[in-house]
Amino acid sequence: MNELKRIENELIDKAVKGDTKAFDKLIRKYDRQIMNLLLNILKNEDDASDAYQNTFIKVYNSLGQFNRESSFYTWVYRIAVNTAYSFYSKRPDHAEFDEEIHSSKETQDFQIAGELELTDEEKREMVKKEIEKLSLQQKTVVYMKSFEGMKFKEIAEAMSLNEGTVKKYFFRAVENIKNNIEI
Amino acid sequence: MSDIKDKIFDLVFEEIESSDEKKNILNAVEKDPELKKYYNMLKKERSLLGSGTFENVSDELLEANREKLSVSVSAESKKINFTEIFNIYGRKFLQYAAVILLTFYATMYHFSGKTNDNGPVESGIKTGAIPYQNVAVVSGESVLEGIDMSKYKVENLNIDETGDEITIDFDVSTNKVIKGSKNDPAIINTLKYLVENENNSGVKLKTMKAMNNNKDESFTKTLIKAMLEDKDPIIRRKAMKMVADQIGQKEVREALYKVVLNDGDETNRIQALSMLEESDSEYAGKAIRSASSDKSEYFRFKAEEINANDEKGR
Repeated sequence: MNELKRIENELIDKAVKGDTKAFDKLIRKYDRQIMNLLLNILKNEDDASDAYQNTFIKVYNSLGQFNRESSFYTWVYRIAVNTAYSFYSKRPDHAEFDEEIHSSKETQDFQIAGELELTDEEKREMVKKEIEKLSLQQKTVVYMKSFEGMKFKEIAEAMSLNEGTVKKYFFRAVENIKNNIEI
Repeated sequence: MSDIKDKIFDLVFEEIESSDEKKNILNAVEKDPELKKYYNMLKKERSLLGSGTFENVSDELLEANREKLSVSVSAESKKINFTEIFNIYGRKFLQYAAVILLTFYATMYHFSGKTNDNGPVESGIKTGAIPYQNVAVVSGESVLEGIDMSKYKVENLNIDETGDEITIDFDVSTNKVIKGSKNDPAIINTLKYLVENENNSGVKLKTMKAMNNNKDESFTKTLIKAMLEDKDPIIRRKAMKMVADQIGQKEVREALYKVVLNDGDETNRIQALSMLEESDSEYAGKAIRSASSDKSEYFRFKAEEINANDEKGR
């Protein structure tokens, strides 16, 4: 067992026994990433903040059930993803919770000659909009892969999916974005 | 996807750690032009999804949440942990209850001697394939009369310009195609319709490109409408740029002046202001005067900068 894992386990042991300072130390390593994930899925600071609180309270209350063989980081991520999805599905305006439903088929063309050429900033803005149109799962995978630089295996673990499915989501998401903006 | 393409995908999206494996894949890419093309395409896709595309939490927001959590966790630690109690006693109880129930049902089943003699259940749900309709309209003379455009969702819009002819393929699901010469009213009306009524900015941009290549006087009105009313600031900006060569027209200058005064996007207001400045018209003076008392400091600064550059140029 490496040193970091040993320290992490010690902190978990202490936190399970009710040491809140140990819990604080334990989560500081990952909570920025978790907050970024929530912010990018929920697109709303208030919801993301509430989901952050719920996620870490769940983590605190379930620490005793954490299987030390797996990664603490992906376990926390899984709780955060489930919490974010639950927040998302409770929104009155949320669309069907379906993988394909958000897949936009409109074709867009960014390679417009001369004066109509888009700047990098404008392209980024358009890509952001296209990411918004993706399904929740696709959006989550794209975020974890592109922003967090997670491996597909880690994403699969965090989302309780198999690696092939995660790759499929990512591949389709990239295809959707690419087709819609034709860069 | 073939095996080598799978590996290229993994390489580009940083799934491979072994440097030897990376080298081998890159060698294969170098040797095969088709694989190289695929590799470059994936790299482009990867750059598209750069970190600038995502939101990043501010330190203040994170700190506020940490403080709040600290208080909640502290309160939580003082509660009786029912989950733990359930884990120790509740699970055992449920296990015993399940064994007792199963034994009871097995015994009842054995003595009743009944078997499931129901036949297979046939689902009442009937599905039928939706017949595929191939509707091709060649030279749609009455595009907006014969075809109710609002009934069609624009999907995979493709505008193909070959010589003097334009083909607008705007609805793949019904294979709806409008084909005609560049000055065909059907073509002109369809382009205008798409810019004015489509929701998708990409569709509008593509249509505007076709408009740009196919100058028609009647497009100006549509573009003015887009620059004043479109919800997307990028579309409004592009529409402005497209009418730049018609700045001699009073209605264009008037519209630009309205953009200076009212557009919600500062870049657009600055763009309109600098276009008016170059036109040296009465609207330019009015626009500069309005800008100098604008509430946005940045806009006032840009207006002064444009004005100063203009005076230097004279």
